[in-house]
Amino acid sequence: MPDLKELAQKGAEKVLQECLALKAGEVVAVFFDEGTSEPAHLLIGAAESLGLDLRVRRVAITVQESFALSETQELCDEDQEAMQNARGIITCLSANQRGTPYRTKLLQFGTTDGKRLGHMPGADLSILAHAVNIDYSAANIRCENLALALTLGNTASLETYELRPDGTRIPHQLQIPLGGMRRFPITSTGLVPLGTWGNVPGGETFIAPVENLAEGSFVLSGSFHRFVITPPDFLILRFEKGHVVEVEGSGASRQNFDQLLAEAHALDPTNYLALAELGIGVNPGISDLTGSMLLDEKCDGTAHIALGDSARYGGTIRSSIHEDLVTRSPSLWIDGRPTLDHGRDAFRETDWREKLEHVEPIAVAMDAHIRRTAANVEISREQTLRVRRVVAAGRQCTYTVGDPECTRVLAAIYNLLPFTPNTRTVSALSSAAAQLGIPEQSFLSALTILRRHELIK
Amino acid sequence: MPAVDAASLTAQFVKNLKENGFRSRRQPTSDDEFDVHYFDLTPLKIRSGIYTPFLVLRRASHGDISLDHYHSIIEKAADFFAHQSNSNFVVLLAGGQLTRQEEELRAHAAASNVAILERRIMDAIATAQKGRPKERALGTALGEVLGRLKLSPYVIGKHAIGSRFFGRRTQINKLMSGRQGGGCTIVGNRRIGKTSLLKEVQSRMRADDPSTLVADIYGGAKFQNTHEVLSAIVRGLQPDARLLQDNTPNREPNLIRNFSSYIHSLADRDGKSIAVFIDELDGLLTWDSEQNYRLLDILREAFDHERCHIYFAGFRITMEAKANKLCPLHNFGRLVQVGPLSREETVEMITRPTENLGMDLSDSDLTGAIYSETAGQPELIQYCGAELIHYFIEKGQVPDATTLLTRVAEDRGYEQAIFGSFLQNSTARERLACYLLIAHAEHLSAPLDSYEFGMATIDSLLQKHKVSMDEHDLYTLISNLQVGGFTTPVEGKQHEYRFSVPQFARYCMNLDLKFLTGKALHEVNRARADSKLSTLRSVQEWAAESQTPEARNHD
Repeated sequence: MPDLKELAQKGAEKVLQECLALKAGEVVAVFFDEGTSEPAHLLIGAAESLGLDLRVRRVAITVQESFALSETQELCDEDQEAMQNARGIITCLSANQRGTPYRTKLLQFGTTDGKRLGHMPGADLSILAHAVNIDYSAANIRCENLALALTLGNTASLETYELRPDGTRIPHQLQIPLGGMRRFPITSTGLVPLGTWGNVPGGETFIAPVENLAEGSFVLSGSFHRFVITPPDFLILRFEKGHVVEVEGSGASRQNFDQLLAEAHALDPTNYLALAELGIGVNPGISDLTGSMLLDEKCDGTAHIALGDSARYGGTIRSSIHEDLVTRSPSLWIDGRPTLDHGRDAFRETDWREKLEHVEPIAVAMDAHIRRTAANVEISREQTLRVRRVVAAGRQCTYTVGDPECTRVLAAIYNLLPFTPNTRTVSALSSAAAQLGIPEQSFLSALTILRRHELIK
Repeated sequence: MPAVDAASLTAQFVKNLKENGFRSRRQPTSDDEFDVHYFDLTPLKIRSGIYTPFLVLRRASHGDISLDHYHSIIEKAADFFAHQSNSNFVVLLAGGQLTRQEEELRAHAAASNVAILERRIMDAIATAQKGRPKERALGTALGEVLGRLKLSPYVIGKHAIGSRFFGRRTQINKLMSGRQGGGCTIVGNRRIGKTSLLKEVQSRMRADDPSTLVADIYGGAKFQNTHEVLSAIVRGLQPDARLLQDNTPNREPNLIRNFSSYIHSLADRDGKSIAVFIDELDGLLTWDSEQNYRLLDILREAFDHERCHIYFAGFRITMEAKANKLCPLHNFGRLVQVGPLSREETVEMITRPTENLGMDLSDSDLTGAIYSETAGQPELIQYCGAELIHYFIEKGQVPDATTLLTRVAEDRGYEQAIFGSFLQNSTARERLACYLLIAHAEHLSAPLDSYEFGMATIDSLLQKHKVSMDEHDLYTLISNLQVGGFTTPVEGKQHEYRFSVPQFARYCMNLDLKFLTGKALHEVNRARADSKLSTLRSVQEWAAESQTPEARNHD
């Protein structure tokens, strides 16, 4: 059985090769501090052995914290130069709260075209060994499935459970409006797309719900900042119009949670109780909750909500706080279709991936002009059609549309459309599709699906 | 207009602005009609000058003013505006509430660049929270009174300075912090914003110290020798300098021999700072390198002084000179590189002005789409911003991303900036290489915004069409595409490039890539067959030819 360091070594290689997709000769900038030198040295060693061109920045925690004292403080020349010339950037820094403004500066500066930034606050050997060392293709599929459902869905019903001493579970439901194509989730798979940043480890899909509408109750049975709730303890949060209106519970959990709310209230008395996020963790490498929310929220078998800021994830609530609250083994339905069943994956392809023959075509005039929308579409060599939308602050929502047969037809028809600003009439497009052997009915169904996903207009 | 204590209200309003961080270095002034308070509205990022005058009536309260008198006040305010050089408009503070009849005056005043802020509006601004909300309240009010178009900071084809200058905080800090004398060199691709950066530094230096003597020189192909350049500098600093009158034939003019001592004495005599800005340095370096950098030697000696500063901007030849240990530019001050704006800067460039003009983008995906579309190219972001404001004025709401980007892509100016400029400023082989690369990306199903290529890919694609080039020609081809802003180097990856903006490839594909490839190939072959294959144009010739009309008209 390999020991922790060996596994962590493998994880470090995965971060560079898979998460940031770096190749020999490319430049990588690694930021670390005295609290993260162990994982950082593994990353540096892995970078050297992979033939990467290294830029190493050791930034003392006191220097990082100085950014909390002045909003106008800029990154020093050395930090900027390290990032400017890099293809990949890793922020392997301690996760202390006073260092957040510095880390935010790094994210803002480093999230730009042609770069990948892996954000690793609080990294340690265990994270490299387990949370990072996962099968990314499986995590990717789950994240994208969830993204598809959260994109198309109108309402999420999150069922969480109050565990009674006799072992029975009392369900609580929180109805969360998603907006149905008006809000897009963020897929944080751990594989960082070019030009964006992502948490490493990744493994969650999350969305900013439509504001001021969520109703119901939520059982907080997992963790929140710096505190892990030990079963059978729990807290119940009641929501009205998208805000927490009541908290039930007792003991240490309640005490710590009240303290968290008091601190949040001090920072933002207006929005500290506003629902800001619904997220689902899919990372099988994270099995224990630790109170470190960047990890806990990705734990497989959990879901989380957050209070406070949603603007950085595509919502409209601006706040200086964002508190994630993780629950264990929840169930989730989106528009009544099962997505999680007591923490287990319950997503059914047939619920969300369109089949051409099941789609009722909408009426379109043959002389109507059709154009591509601003959404990015990638068509793979296998002719699958994948949507890639920028959601907020350099984060992305990606998913594949349709079942295997449907996606090929969608890709073929999409390819027949000219690029912006040009258009093509439905009749011309229909003739071109017919030449590819696509029947009229399938063509019209495909148009309906492309329009449903706002890929054509 | 009802007689409310107008004088006290306007005084309170001015005080409120001052207490909430609106400032200006310029002291209040008075004339017969008005007390004038100056505010620097550039942080609002709407189109304003450095000093925006806020006029307060001196002699009468607003309640006493007849309609005719009001007309005459507006005339005087308009006249006041006409005599301002650094303002885009003036603000007239009206202590009362305008009646319907008087409201017509507001439109009349706006046409004369006078924004009347009446009591209701002043109240709304004064009660808004400090910081962004107050900025928004003031900006929105001005936008409603003067029209958003007038305050739009997105002015295409003009250098962006002051309130229209965005991002580049790091570069500005570097350039301004190097002000203990000496030189600074700005390098970057064509149309990336070097000139705007140079002008912005100049404007900030003038604002910091109005006594600074400034010479602003546009290099390019305008000057042919050292004497011409030094004369232009002296003329800029001191138009009546005696040094300019020396025309002694057959020996080195005094101007060249005494330039350094002249500059030093100018700085020492009055204790003034001297700043010289030389844009398009590549054009000067072309001939200066042939005279062993005589000009740069003189400039280096002259500006090696604590109160003398010289700023250069250029591209490839400048970069080469900066790296050349034998060139006086080497180690002479700091090197500041200018690339595309970052995502954050792009978002700020769009959201800050539009929010301050009362447009809410918070629930839209516009900023992300604009960044994806423009890849941070400032000129292209200007097109998007301008179209966004036009649409809002037309429809009263913000467009969705598809509508905005479609309208932008349909704009002939935008097409010209991307595709027209490519056709005009590239050789047949450069065009052929681009068309083949786009087809290659399509063949690989690679997204156009992340398709990357190097010299080997270009070579192999050209070889497939029996077009062979040696390394030097390939290097020149790649450099020319980069200088033209059509391709961008991939950071952190040696000798790899990508297309600067995806729309460039889309224009090509919409026009029929096969046809374009055939045409370019035909041209390349014809040139070969005629045995008149001209050598690739030099960068400096090319740069001179491809100057923007504005740059050509400079000076």
